[in-house]
Amino acid sequence: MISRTKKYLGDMKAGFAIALIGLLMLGGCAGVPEDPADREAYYEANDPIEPFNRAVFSFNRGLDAVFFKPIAAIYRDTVPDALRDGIHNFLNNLKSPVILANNLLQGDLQGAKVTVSRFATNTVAGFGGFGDPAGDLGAKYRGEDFGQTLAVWGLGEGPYLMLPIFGPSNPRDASGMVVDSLIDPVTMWADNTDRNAIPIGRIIVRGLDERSRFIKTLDDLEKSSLDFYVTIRSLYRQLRADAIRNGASDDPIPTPSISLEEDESLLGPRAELVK
Amino acid sequence: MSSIFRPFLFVCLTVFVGTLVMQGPLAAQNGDAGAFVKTLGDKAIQTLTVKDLSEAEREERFRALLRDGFDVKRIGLFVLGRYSRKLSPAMATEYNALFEDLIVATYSARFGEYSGQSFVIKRVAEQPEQSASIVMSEIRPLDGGPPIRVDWQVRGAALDPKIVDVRVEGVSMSITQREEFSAVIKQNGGKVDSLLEALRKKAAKLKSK
Repeated sequence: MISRTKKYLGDMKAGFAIALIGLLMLGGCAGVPEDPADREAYYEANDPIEPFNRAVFSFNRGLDAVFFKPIAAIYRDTVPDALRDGIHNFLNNLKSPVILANNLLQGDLQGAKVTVSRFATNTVAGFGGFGDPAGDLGAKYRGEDFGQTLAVWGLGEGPYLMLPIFGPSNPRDASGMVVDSLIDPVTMWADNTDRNAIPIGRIIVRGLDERSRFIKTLDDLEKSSLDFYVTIRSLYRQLRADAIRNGASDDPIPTPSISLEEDESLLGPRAELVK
Repeated sequence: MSSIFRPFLFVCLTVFVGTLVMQGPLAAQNGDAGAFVKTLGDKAIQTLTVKDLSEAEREERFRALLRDGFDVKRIGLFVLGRYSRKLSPAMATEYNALFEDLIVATYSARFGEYSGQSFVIKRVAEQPEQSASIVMSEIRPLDGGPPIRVDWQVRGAALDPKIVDVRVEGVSMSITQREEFSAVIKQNGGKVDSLLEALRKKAAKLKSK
């Protein structure tokens, strides 16, 4: 029974990966524009299966409008702040083993030390992770995932990919998400003891927590954007790049200079692809 | 998804608090980019977060600070990328006006939501190859929550410093806007006119609110 459940989950994940690769190959057939400006925009977007992604995005937004957002709003408006913060901290603490594995895989010993001491401190002094005393002491939470690890190892992100329900991603980060769920001890334990409700419940609460935190943010973003799909795509990429750099990098991010004298630099970061 | 959306919040928060910061006024006499950004931010907080300020008045003040502290024309050109070569002089004039209006409409109202955050300059890094400086700052919420990282790219720091990009938690406002604008143009068969049309519509919509 146990092994059957595990096999089923494994099959599902393998199926997901295959479907993903198939989609990407299909998408690869889309034509590259002739006009140099359009071509630059095409490479900058790095989104060969855009029509498919947009369809999934519409689907996600529909689901969000009738389902996720209203529930998240109720959660935000009825559950007291302190309890919601506690749940948020608890979920973060539960991710510690996966974060630690990725710290180590990235060769980030300093990060690993922070992860371990946060986990110990918050589990004991934070009442099982509901408090974040480590954060108050200056050891701030910093998530790591296998998508970031692959990036640190030198793997490119690949084309943009909008996943149903899970949202913006790319082949690298989507594979990373699968790996993270496979190496998660909580999920493993639940699998092995036939407690499948636990990982599912965790995903639901996590989603609720995340969505409730960004209600106003996303509303504001949508109001000011000309094309919300593109705004999300751009933000996703830049935020991931920032997470891979671990944010506090000492070097300023190399943005293209905004310069009238050096006209070439106006062409932007991917101009070399067009030439 | 979690790791992605967490920074989203920051982005938004920062964009509006960040606006506080960026709309600073005149240059620091000593040519220090950090002092320039700090002065601008403090002035923005001082003049834009006044209680009972009407939206119209806030926008007016915001626009003045924007023109003082930012090279809006340069940012507008960068944001258009290659498409800027397709602009006729008349279109360029209209584009500049519409682009400025969009910035004002997007960020001005955020100052009305200001709730006492503090603005701290962390450090300044030079970018000699781009004759620019990056001013790294933090916006700290009153309740001790996590600070928001905001980096300001400043050009011409010695004589007449102007901000040319703002990055919130690593997200560049110019790059985001650029991708959006080129997507609008691309979807309309490469016609820059379509962007102007979209900007006019957006302006009307934001105004009616």
